Amino acid sequence: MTASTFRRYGLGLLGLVLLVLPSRLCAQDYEVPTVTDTYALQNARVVQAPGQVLESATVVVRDGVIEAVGDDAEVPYDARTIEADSLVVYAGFIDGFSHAGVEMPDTEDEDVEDPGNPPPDAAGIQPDRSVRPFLSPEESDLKSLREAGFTLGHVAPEGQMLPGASAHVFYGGETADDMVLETSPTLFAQLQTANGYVYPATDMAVIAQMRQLFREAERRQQLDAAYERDPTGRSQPPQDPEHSALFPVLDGETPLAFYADEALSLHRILALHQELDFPLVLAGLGEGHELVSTLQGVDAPFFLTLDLPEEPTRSSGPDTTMADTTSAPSQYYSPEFKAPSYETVAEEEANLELRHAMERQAYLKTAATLHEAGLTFGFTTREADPGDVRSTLRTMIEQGLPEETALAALTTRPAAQLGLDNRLGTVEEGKIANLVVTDGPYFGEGTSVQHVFVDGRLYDYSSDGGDTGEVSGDVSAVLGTWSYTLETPQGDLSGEVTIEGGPSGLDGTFTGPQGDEQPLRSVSFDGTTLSFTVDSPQGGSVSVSVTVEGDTFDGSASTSGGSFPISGERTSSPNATQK
Amino acid sequence: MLSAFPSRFCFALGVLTAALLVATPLQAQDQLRGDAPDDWLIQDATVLTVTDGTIENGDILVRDGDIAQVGRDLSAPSGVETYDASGEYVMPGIVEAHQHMAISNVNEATNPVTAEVGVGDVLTPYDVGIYRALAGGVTTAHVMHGSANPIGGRNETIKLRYGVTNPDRLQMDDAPRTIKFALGENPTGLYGQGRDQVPRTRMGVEQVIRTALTKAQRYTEAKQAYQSGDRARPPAHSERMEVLAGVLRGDILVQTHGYRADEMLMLMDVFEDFGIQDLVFHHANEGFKIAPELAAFGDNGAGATVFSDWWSYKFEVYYSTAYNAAVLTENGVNASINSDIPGEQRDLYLQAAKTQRYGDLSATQALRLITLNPARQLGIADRVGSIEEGKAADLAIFSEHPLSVYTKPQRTYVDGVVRFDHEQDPDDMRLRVDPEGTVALARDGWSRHAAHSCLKGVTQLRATKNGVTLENTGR
Repeated sequence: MTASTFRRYGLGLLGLVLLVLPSRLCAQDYEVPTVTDTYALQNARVVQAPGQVLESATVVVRDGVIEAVGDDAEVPYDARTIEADSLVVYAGFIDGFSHAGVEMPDTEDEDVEDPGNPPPDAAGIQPDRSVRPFLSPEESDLKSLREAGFTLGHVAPEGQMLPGASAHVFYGGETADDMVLETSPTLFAQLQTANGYVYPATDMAVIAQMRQLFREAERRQQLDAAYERDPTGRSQPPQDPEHSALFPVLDGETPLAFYADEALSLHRILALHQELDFPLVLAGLGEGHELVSTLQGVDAPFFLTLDLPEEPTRSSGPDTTMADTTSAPSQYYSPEFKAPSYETVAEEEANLELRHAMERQAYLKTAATLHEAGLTFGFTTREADPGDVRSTLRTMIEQGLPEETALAALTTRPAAQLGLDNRLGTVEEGKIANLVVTDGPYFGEGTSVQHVFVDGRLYDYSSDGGDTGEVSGDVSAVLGTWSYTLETPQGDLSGEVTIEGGPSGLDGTFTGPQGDEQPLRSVSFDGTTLSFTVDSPQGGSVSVSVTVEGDTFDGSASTSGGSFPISGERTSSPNATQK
Repeated sequence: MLSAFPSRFCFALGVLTAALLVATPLQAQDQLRGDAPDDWLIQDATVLTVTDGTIENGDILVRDGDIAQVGRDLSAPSGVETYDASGEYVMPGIVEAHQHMAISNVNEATNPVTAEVGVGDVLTPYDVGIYRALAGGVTTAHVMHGSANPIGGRNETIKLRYGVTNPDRLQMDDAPRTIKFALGENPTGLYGQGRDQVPRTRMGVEQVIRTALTKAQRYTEAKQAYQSGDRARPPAHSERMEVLAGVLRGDILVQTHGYRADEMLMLMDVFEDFGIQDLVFHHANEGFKIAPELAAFGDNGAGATVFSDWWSYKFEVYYSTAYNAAVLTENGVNASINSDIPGEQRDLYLQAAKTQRYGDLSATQALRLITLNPARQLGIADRVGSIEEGKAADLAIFSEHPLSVYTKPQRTYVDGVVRFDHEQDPDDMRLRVDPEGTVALARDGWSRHAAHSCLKGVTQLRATKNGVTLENTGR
């Protein structure tokens, strides 16, 4: 027995001790402390990088690092083996920009004495803050994104115009300390006004304030330099944390990471970038298709939003559904149309419906449009519903984004854009053990994520793994029978959900519109949010996440084909019958 | 009828517009006119030059977006499109001296002095109001910060190139920078009555302006002292003071909202004290009372840009007259007529015509109120405002004389490009729509209440038959 394996056994024993401590009830989708930190995924299809596939190989993970990849890789005796014959291993996905894992404290709206000249924090000028103290591994978006395959992100604090420094954050870990890979790669910035009627209350004032901060920081930096050369006889340069935090940006070392989806905001940010000449990271780009040629001239990492416009609820009447050109446009908007008289307003309306559909189409195609224009980008989940990520990616692929490019935008590209490609982005020996393991091609319909490794930690989503959900809060708030209504483009569907169990775990039954019953999987409840998964008899599954308020709930049901609103009402509860 | 319609309708249209869906986004920078020509020969029109009389059966040759030649019987060089304007009238593109369209913000109403902000940073090329202005012959607009603050932000002079989507392309190259000042009830109502802050009175407005300009003088002096070595370090950088220093230098033209004669006289005194020469009063409903004083201000006089016959919409605007523009003009004041409110920018030619009814101005005098005069007020008369060789080919073509009530705008050229054509004026000229929206939403349409007015972003006192009410107009 070598010293190092002894050490590992030691850790394993520690894990066993932790297991019996009741306070160590940790995340449901995180395996209870394991006896080993070594894993071997045997005979898996390994997508090492986009287009680079090993059909049957073994991946060995040890102590947070990929120790070996290959068909001849030896399975260490202390490894927990995962039979992966039917599984696919990808590099863990990298989120180009988000607030996942960030829990900002509730700030009370303070009365600002002079709203025209507020203190920096009331103005949203907080570049001296770091996201680090706000990180929590228990944050719910972080968990959902991890289940979708994201293992690390470029994560920033929330706020207004300059909310603070970001960090490269693992989407997993037991403590906030486990989560941080690197601090302060960028400062987050956005064209966001101050809260309330406080300067800057308009975008134009935010822009003016950015100029002011830059120019004054420049002056202070020069004064600092002069003082450093020769302090004798000079008064000390003025200093405050806000201006000092901008010095690395002025030096070209730290980029400002802007988030914006609207074309106008993007133009405004690019104009500011040109004027003030700071290194830029640009995330969002939801309307990037509006300014392709401008973006072609910009030297900055881009992260495209994984949020797409919802399909609008049409006004009424059967004729308006013709405007759905989502997959195959069969009718076209006429830009030349003129309604000859008031009697033909219906034609006008039909034409304008087509215009809306066409406009939406442009958004669905944004990823393909940017790709075809030669722009490289990763993705950002900031505005995305984590449950919709895969269906969004599928839509982008249907609209012309090559599948390999989509995978690159989740793995190798963001790794390079964030300067992490020596450690992340591929399934290669020596890289950080961030992996996504699926039961089929990730973008395929009906595929589900089975395991996610974050920094060598295994999160098991397979059906024989963590199938019981996490339960906290007062379960009596959800127990009972609920009638639900699911809004789909084909119309409303309704049925019943029954929730049973207790604080130690919930289960239940989902009754479909035709009366077919399915058991609920992974029922979790945290006092307000109820979520569960139902397997569809046709294959695939539906993830439901709703907010419970009294005897009603509201939320969404996500499938590989999209996400739909669902609402419900409790028709009976055990409490009620007891009373 | 209704059910039969979609298939017929869409079959024909599908063929026509299939190309639109496959158009590459690279062409999207000027969505409507991408490669439209800017070389034209406009033939056989009645040309209202505004500076050099009227030419019957006149021709205008446009090359590279500029007016190359004006005269009779000009011939079209090869590659130049011709437009037969026989029976029609050509006037210089209308210059709108005061508007709040095509901008995302109007008032930074948090501080009485916000010289550092500028609406030029938040231009909105998607605003269909630009097209509506074009449909009324307008080619240039001075889009302005609002009148909440005694010293508001910088304005922007834009060319109405509707169809471009990059906001920078709306800006008029080489137009002088301008800034908004505001006197009277808007600032006193917002800061004094609303927030118990200076200025509560017209005296306070004067003090706010004097204090700001004095600070700017000191800032300038401190910078100069640093440059000449009399000071160890430069003063703390101030975007606000940089702009006001530009006002003191005469680089930035002051455009002041004000209604009453007394406060206009006050500001002229202040500016004389600070040596500021460039001053245009906006609204100036009592301008007629002090027309000689306005004409005598500084080296070039103070300008006034007024409404044709709109008043009585708040207390300080009760004393006015439809003869205002004519009285100002006859007294040698450089006067113009503006529309201010988005939605009202479409019939400035009609507003100008009212000065013939109220004041007997000549046709040329009336047309100058919406062309050359506002161009002079904005410092752009070397480029626009009249039909002269060498100026930009900003032209408005009308079916009848533009001051006739029967006239209809036919075509509007901006820099030689046709940006409005009565013959090609489809119903949907929006550059974009909300992808998540519906037609029902679009139909909600424009409301005067929701439009950007001078006081956008300010709680406003409004006098009605039921008394005085406070009204919040959104940001």
